[in-house]
Amino acid sequence: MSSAPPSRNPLFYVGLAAIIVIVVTAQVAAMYQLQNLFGAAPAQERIPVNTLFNYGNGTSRWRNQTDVPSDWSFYKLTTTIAQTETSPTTSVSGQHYVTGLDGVKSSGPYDYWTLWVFCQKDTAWATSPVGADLIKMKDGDAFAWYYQTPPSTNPATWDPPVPGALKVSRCSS
Amino acid sequence: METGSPLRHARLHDFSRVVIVISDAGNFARCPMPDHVPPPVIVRIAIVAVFAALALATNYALIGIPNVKIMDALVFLAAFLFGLKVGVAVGASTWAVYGFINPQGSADLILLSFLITGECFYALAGAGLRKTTIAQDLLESERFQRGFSLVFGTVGLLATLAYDVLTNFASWLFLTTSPYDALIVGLITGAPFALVHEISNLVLFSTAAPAAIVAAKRFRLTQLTETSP
Repeated sequence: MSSAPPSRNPLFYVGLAAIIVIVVTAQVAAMYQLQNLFGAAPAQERIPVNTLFNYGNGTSRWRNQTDVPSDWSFYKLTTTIAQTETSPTTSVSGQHYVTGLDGVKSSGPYDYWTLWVFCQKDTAWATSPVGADLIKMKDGDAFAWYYQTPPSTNPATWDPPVPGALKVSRCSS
Repeated sequence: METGSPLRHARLHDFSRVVIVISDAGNFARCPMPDHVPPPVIVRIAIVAVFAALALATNYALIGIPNVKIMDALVFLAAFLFGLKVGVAVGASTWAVYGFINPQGSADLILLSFLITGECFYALAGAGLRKTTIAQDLLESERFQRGFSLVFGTVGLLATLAYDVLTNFASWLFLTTSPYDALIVGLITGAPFALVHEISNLVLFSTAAPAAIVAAKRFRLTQLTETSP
């Protein structure tokens, strides 16, 4: 006796709908987890943050101990301490792609502003795993923008923002 | 003329449009074949070129909308309609160009190999789905049923999930201390991009893909699929 194909069974479609719900929910949960990893300290508290701008032409500028509200993103801080230019096209989740800082702009697809985080435990620089909009700052954090022309899009090939400084793939937790 | 050949041959019906149908030997014997019809391998190469061109054109057109691409659905359709090899060839040739000539930066060879492998998931999904009774229902039934959209959407979503997991893992493989770390960091940091990719593909696969297959059926292009002689 031959049974009906699964496509004729209503439960089959219920199962498919369940798969869609599970996959989308898992991705939303992962996104929520991402925001928690870079979660903000209590609102309205003001924290000192250090920022380095390396313009890639031998010129660097530190903005030390900038006092900012703890619920700011690093992108917001960047816009207040540097003349910031972004790509006109909207990025994912409303994030910004920084194309120029203090008049130093990307002149082609292979030179751009790279974003770095200083890892306190490792005393080394690491490329930020997320964009500036998703970085929530903590007391004493240090970040760097470095304009460079890396040999590839792989961050492992990028130079750290301070010449001779240590570089790690990611910060120790 | 190779009238007795078991190989599929093409014939041309010149109505208001040209329709290429791979025919079996029996049909071929009843319908004289024009001399200028190219062999099937040439037809397949042409199909790969057309699909790859479409994928590249739409990729560059959508460059401002990250992770929303019609390419995945095109690779899926190519495999569904014309077989796994054609689908894989479309995915690989598209990435071979798009991976190197990209305004957002070119991919290195290792990442490119993962991207091509990931794109093959869509070809596998298309060729695999073609072998199911659901695909037969879609190709044979007179009426379009809503269930088709759900099936195609789910298949597209799962193929996209597999692609995202693989490529996000590959992005961190050489930046972390272990493959497990690479998987976890890749899944979490890539989540916003994966979500956009998966939802856009869910919509495309559940709407455009079955509609394109129904259109191909009307143009009799579905018989071009790979079948064993």
